[in-house]
Amino acid sequence: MLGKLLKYDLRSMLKTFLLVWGAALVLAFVNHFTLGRLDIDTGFLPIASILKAVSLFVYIAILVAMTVLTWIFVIQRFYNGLLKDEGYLMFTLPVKPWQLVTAKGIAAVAVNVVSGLVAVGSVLIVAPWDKVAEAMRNVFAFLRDNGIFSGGQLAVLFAEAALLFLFTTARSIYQVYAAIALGHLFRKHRVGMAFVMYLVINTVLSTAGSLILSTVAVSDALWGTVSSLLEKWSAFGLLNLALWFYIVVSAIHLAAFHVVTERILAKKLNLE
Amino acid sequence: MSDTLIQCTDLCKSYGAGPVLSHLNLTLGAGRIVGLLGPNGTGKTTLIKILAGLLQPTSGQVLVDGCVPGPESKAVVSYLPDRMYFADWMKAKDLLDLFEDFYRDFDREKAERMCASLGITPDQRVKTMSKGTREKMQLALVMSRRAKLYLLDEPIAGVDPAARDFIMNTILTNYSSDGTLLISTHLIGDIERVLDEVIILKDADVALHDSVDNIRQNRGMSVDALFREMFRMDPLEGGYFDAR
Repeated sequence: MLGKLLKYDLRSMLKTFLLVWGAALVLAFVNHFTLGRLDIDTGFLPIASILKAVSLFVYIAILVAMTVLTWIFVIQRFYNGLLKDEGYLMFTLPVKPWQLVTAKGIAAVAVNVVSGLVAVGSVLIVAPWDKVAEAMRNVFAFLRDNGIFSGGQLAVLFAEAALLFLFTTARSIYQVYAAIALGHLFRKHRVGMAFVMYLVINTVLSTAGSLILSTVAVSDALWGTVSSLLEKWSAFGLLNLALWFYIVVSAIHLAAFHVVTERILAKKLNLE
Repeated sequence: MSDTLIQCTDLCKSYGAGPVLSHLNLTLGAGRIVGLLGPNGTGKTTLIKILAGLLQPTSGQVLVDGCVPGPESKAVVSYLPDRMYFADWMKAKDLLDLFEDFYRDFDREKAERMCASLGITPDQRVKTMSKGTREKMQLALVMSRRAKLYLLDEPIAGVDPAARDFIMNTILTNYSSDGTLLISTHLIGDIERVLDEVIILKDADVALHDSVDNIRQNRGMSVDALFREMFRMDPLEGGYFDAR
């Protein structure tokens, strides 16, 4: 059933974003050539510079629109899709609430990931390709020559960073879901209360984080452990530890937000 | 297997102000056409939404086909809400795919025939359909299921008499005859002829649950006349309103 739900959420996503993603990539190609080829010192000065400015402006506008649309999609597909009129269809399907929430979550992560890839890809397209390739070669050569990371270690760090991106994205999305679900517990002003709940979650998490950090900061034993780690471990080891620490923290937040959202929709659903 | 399809025990629901349903007890069997009647605000929609699993009772118990409302009960309940529930991005064929994917009892061929007779093409977007066409499409999908229980919330409210006939004919010619139809309405005259039983809600509880034949025989009046008698109101007259 989750796969079937996902099919419809992904279809909805593609209908909204194919045009935006396509436009961003096409405009990136246009800008690659206009920025590189139309030299403002030639006799074409006014036309060339206007063309450059317009195509660059439209490209940047598309990137901004893509970012805004991505978050509107995340909020709208969850709120309208489950807690407004469309919810009358979705909550009368013979599926469990966790499946509804998970399908929305996976589609939202997918749209964020693809939008991120399109944004990064389009910047690489706009940039002069020979200079990008040279810069990347230099970075890899520097890391290798100075013995900071081996090729294998770089691959591991890249995979871990990708995993961290996935978890932090999912965690941010589920924080919005949990806030909307908590807002649904109120009889009136549910959207306003969802916004308040989002701020409350942020405040609680940042206060808890500060408390933990301040406890660590005054603990001699913990400082000793950190110092010995810094002395003994390589840069790779420390970076590896930091990445996994943030992955685990994000995963814990994600699980907590999922449970809150699912329990409210399973036990407190009130489509009035 | 038990004949009982719906069982509400001591069911209460309130939205904060006062109770909408208060200690309601109701048992409904299979294979009947039942009218859920009552003036506006007596809890008809609330009861139907609780049975469909869209609202949680404040207290009490609800069983549909022996199960608490959930995936098992939803697989045998076909629900027509009092609003449009389609996503705008969908086409007619997306909706048919969705019903076919999730409901085992969905008869796609029947739904396609009904859509064709309404002039709906498979590639027609929901966004481009008129309000009336969307309502008919929703009805076609709901009535193309061979469900055990059909929950139809105000299916003939706000439409002209010709459309009412169309809707009632569509319902009566397409529902699974071994299933139960629960139709909420306050337009009793339009559906009385097809009802086996009526449930009348008043003051957040069941005021009357009886067969139409019994009502006619024992009380010597139609359901419509009985309803008017139960909810008769004195006409408003002029007077002085002192707000102080």
